[in-house]
Amino acid sequence: MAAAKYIVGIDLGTTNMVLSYSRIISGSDNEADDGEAINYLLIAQEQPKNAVDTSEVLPAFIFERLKEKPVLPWNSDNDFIIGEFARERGAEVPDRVISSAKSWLCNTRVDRTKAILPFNGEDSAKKISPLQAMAMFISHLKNAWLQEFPKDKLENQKVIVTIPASFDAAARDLVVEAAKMAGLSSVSLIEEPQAAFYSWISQKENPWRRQVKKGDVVLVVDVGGGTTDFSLIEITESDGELNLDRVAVGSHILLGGDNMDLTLAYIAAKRLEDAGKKISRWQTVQLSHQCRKAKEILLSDSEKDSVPVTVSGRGSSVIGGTIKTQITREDVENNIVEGFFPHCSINDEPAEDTASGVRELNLMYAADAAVSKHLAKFLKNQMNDAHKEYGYPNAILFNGGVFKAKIFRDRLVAIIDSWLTESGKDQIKVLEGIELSKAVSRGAVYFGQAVSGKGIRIRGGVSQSYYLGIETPMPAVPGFKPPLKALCVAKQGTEEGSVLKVENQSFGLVIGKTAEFRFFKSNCRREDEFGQLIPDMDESFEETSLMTAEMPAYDGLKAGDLVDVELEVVITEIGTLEVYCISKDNEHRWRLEFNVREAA
Amino acid sequence: MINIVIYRLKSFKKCLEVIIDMKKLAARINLILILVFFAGGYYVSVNQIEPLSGLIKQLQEFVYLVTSVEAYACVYYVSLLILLFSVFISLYAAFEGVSKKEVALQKEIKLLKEDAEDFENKKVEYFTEIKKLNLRIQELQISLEQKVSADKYEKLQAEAEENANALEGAKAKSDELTDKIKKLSQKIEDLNSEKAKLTEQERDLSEKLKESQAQLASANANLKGGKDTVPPAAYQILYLLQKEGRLIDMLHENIGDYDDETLGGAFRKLHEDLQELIKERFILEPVLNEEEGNTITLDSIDPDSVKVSGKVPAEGPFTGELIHKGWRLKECKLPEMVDGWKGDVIAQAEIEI
Repeated sequence: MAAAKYIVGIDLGTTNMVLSYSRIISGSDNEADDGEAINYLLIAQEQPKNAVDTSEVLPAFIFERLKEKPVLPWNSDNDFIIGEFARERGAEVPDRVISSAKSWLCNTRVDRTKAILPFNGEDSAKKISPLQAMAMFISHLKNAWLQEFPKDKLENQKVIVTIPASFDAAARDLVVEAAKMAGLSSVSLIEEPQAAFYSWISQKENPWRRQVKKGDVVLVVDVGGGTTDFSLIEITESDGELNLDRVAVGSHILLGGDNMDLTLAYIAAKRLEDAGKKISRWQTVQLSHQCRKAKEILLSDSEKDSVPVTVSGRGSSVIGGTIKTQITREDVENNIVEGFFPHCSINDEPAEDTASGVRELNLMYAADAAVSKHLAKFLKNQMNDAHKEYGYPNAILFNGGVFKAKIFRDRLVAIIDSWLTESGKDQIKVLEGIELSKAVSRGAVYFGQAVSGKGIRIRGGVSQSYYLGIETPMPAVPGFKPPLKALCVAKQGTEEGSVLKVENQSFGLVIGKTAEFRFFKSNCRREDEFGQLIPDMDESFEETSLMTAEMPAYDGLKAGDLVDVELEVVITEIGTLEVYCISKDNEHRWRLEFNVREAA
Repeated sequence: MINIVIYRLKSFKKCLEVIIDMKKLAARINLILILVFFAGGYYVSVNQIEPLSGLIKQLQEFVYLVTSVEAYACVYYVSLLILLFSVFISLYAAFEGVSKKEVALQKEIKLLKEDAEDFENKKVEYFTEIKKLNLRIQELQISLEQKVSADKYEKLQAEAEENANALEGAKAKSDELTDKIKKLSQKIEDLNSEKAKLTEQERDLSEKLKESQAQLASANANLKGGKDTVPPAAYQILYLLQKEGRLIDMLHENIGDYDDETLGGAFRKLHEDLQELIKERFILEPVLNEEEGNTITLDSIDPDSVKVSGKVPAEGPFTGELIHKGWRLKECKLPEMVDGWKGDVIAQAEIEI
């Protein structure tokens, strides 16, 4: 394998993907500030009319071809269009488009390796699995890279892929597997809020060391197009140097800037319908684009009170068919600012979906649009935990295009300040200097430089604690399940590269059968130690995918034989969790794999 | 008379003896009863209470010798006997009750004892069973270990033998097959190379034909332009202007009937879209970067980039008012067409199903 020439950061966004890169410079000094400039790959994408165009952004859409001829040099016989043209065709033929594939990847209620997307598509349509979809995007990026750098294949570069902090161990595994399917056998993972933090560290206008001090807890709020992610990073000190520790991550919230545009589009559509004008689905998409523009104007230009939104006629009578309404400042303030960032108390919880019992199997969209309430719940969870101080952050770092609007930043700061003042704490400090929209992929590259020793590194480790469910042995009683105990196999914060053996616990596994363990996670049980057996499982445990291991016959052991095994846990360098059963007699190993097929 | 006295004494003695014979309680009861009896008798005889006094008198008359005392004694005996009998009966009954209870209790005790014994037995049984099971487990473990190693050895041996046999057979067969395969693959190769040559020739020819045709057409178009020839880029630009900014529709629409407000609203949107397209696809810059209306002086003029009008001198310098800055296409970012432009459609007909 040729030596890596570039560090490549891939931001696998929910709606947009970006690939950034920088040259690896050998033999230079260890200051990250002197690192090579970061560039964005111009990603070749299909266009209508047999054309190819490049763009820095690859929209995360896959469209199953109708009659469109494949034109990209690398996929002459591909059934799917990826990127800009896919998004465009998807608006016109919604049943054939796959969007938000990334969010499907962490949906534990579906089999993520089964061909289920497009989810509501017709049965006759060719379907693919969320895993395949993710592999397709990575493969597209790989090929686009090859166009640009024919001599330096992407598989030979140092590739870092960003993921939401809330991705659990199974979803992380799937991202790595998707990269493997696309031919990238070794990628590292980094959490998006961490990447944003790296990006902030790498900027030079407002040196970070002057903005934070030892003991500060920084809240990273990342509101992207489709997802909202929270993380807490603590600034510590050792040997006179500042260190960074990622100490908490929030849960997966499907809520973002796209929801805001849709909200306004619904308001505009309602207004048009009230005026007796019919709106087609195609026009709603156009309306949503218009509303986004209107929102941006109203949020940045404080003089205008309303912005007209216009949808041109679809037929050739473009002027006569035009329908027009407007979005007012009031609409934005009442529905967007108050809807997404309402003032609330730290004790407020986001509303749960009350109809969850009959809810259609789909993406778990957030039932409550109030970002501030989701944040309240996240911080409140920290206060209930061993480290109460994490519930009262000292500084805040914004990320995501949504926060380009000052009004959102100011509102969120005001809300957090009200919580802090209530508890007698100082007001929160806003960290300056981050570039809001492409920070994540930039940060990924910076992380790559940090890993190779050029710059400061955030110590994160395992994002939450993980547990295997162990059934308590007891005589069978009909209608009564044996109580489950939780064996802690990964403590939150365990560093990458750790190999740990569970002492004092062994299991008898039967050859020829599938060993099966229930698997749980928790992000608010900091005090549990590795290998600890927790007898009472309360609501703080959340069940995720099953862990299973096939146990084929080997070495003369045949089906039905019993082997005594011990557990070994590996936190890999790339940030995934691996659990092995090791035979006590001869050290034979079986890997426990996440069974993403069965819904938890 | 003496006889009578003796008899009386005798009977009295008997009476005493009986009383003495009785148990303490009975004696006391008797004593009380005697006293009550005598008192009663005395009371009856003194007050002449009928029918008792009559009964006594009749008894005296019936047996002359008997004095009233004797008669009393007689009656007394009879009643005493009855009394004793009744006392005896009642005592007996009481005794019997007690003994019955005792028997019941004893029975219960016995049952409990039996139960206890049963439990004891069962416990022993369970213990022995557990012991047996433990032994069994040990045995199984031992046998498992033995089995594993024995099985392993046997299996490996058998496998080794089998492998050796199979290897020999396979070798012979594979030699045979390799020969055959060699021959066949030679043939296939020959055929393939022939076929490849042919298809290559064919492809080359058709590609060349296509290329030269396309080259001819586009060279013609690009060079001359004008009638009957359309450069592919013309299609593409018209397509984009129509797609992004609906320019063709707009210019073809009869706008005479619309009021200015309708027009303004519709145009604003189209203007916005077209502006975006032009900014994105065509990087333009002014030819002369000066404020329009200013007086400027140029030493020489390139007629392709600057147009002069009015009273123009034959030689420079040229001084005059800048009317229009001009535009220069600095960069054109049109999407790359893979196979040129197919057909003559610049806006597809649309059907919604």
